[in-house]
Amino acid sequence: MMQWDKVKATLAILFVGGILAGTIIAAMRSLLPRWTVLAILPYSPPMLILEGLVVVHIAFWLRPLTFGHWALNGLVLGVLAQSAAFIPYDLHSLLPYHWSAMITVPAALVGMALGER
Amino acid sequence: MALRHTQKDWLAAVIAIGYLLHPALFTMLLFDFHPVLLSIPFVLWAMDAADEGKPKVFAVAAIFALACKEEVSLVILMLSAYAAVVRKQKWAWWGVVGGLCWIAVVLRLMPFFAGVEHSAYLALYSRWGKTPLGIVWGILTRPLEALRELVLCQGHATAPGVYPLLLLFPFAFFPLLAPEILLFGLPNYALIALNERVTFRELGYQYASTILPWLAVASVVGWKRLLQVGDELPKPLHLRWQVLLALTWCICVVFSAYRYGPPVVQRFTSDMLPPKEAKVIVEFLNRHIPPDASVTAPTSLVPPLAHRKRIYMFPNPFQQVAFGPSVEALKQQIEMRAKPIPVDEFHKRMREQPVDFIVLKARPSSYWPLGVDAHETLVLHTLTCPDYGIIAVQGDVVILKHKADFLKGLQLLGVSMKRQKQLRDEIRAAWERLKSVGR
Repeated sequence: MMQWDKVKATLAILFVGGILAGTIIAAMRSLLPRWTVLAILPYSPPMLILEGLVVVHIAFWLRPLTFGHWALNGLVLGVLAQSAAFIPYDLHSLLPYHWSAMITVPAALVGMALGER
Repeated sequence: MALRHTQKDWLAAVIAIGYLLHPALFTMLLFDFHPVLLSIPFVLWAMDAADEGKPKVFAVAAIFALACKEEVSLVILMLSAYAAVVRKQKWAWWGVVGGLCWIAVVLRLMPFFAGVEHSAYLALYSRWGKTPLGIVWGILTRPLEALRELVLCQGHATAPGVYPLLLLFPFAFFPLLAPEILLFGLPNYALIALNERVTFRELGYQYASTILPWLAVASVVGWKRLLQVGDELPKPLHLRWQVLLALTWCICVVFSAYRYGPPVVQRFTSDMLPPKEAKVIVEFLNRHIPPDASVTAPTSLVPPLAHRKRIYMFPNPFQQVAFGPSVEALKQQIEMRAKPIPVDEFHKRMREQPVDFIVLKARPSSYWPLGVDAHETLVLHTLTCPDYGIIAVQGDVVILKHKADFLKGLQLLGVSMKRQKQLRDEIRAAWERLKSVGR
C-alpha cells in the first residue's frame, strides 16, 4: 500500500514537472522568435538545445522528490514534457509537431541521472 | 473555497488570482450585455454552498442563478447531481428535481414570452435533435461523433481541438486531477462544443461563463490533491514540492494571460471608435436627436443612443435582420447573408413603420448584422426615400429625420438636383465621397 502511494505521488510530481517543462518550452517557442528577430525558431537547433537544458534542470531538481528508478522517472518526465505540444501557440492554433521535440526524453534522463545519488 | 481546501492564505490568493487572470474572462463584460454573466457569482456561491453542505444557501444561490438564463439551469442541475452523487448530500436531490423541472418550464416559457413557436436556443443543436430529449438521444446514439466534437471542436478562427486546451491550460491542467467534477461539468461544456454556432468556441465570448466555474472548482480540488502528495515526501522536501506547484501554476497563469489575453482584448475592441472621435460623434448625435425619439443606427452607434424606448440596429425595423428571438433571427446572426429587399418595398416599410431618426455612417467599424454589399444597398434605399430628409452631416455620419425636407437634405450631402432621373447614382457618388471625409 505504501509503495502504491509513493508511485502515485511520483506520478503526480512528474505530471506537474512535465507541465512546468512543457509550459516553459511552449513559452520559448512562442516568444523567442519575436524577441530574437527570428534568429531562434521553433525546432531549430538552438531552440532544441534550450528545450533540452530546461528539461535537464527540472529533472535534476525533481529527482529527490521522486520514487523509483531514475531512468523510468526520466522517461516519464520526458514524455510528459511533450505537453508543450498541447499548449496553444497563439489564440487560434497549435504548433505542428516535429519529432525533434522528443529531445526532452534524453534530456530528462540526463537530468534524473545527474540527480541520482 | 480555495482557503478551505488548501488551508493556506497565500495559496488561496494565488488560486483566486489565477482564476481572475484566465484570458476567457478578460472581455466577457466588454461585448454587449449578456445576462448569463450575472449568473457567475451565483453559480460560484452555489458551488461553495454545495461544497460546504449548506442546503439553504445553495437554494438561494441556485434560485438567483436560475433567474439569469436558461442554460444556467443545466449548471444547477449538474451541480445538484454532483452534490448528491459524489458528496452524498441527500438534500441535493431536490436540486436535481428542481433543475429538471426548471429546464422543462423555461424551454416552454421563453418561446411563449417571445411569441414564437419553437425555442431559438434549441435550434443551435438541431444537428443532434429537435427537442431536449431528442438532442440528448442524438448525442447518446452517436457517441463517437459527439466525443470527436467535444475534443476536436472548431471555432470561427480557432483550429480544431484548441478551444478546450485554451480553457484548461491557464489553470495549468490541474482540473484534470479532479475528473469527477469535470464529469459533472461536461454537459455544460457540451452546450458549447456541440453547438452549431462557431463563435461559441472562441475565447473571450460570454459562452464560457457556464464552464469556467467548474474548471475553477476542479482546479481547487486538483490543488488540494497535489498538496496531499507532499505528505508522502520527507519533511525537508515539502517546501520544494510547494514551490514546484506554485511555480507551475504561476507560469501557466502569467504566460496564458500574456500570450492569449491581448489578442482577445483586441478582438473585442478593434471595432470601437477612438475615444476622441466617439466623443465628437456622441455630442453630434445628442445635439440633433431628442432623448425620447426612436432611432435606427449602425451597431457601433447604438450604445450611446440606447437610452430610449425604441432603438434599432440598422436596417431594422424596415427590414428585419437578426431581430427578435426567432429561429430565423438566430440563423441570420450565424450566416450574416441577409439579402436586401427591393427598394420599393423598403420605402413602403419606411413609410408605414417610421422611426423618428435614422443615423448612417459611411465608414462603420462593423456592418453587423449585414454583409458589406447588403449594407451599401440598404443605405442607398434609405437615402433615396423621400419620406426622410437629411438634417445634419458631420464627418462620415449622417442624420435623417422623418418628414424632414428631402431635397434640402440632399443639398447637405452635395447632391445636385438637376438630374432627377439619375438621383440614385448621384446619391451613391455622394455617399462614396463621404467615405473619404476626414481620412
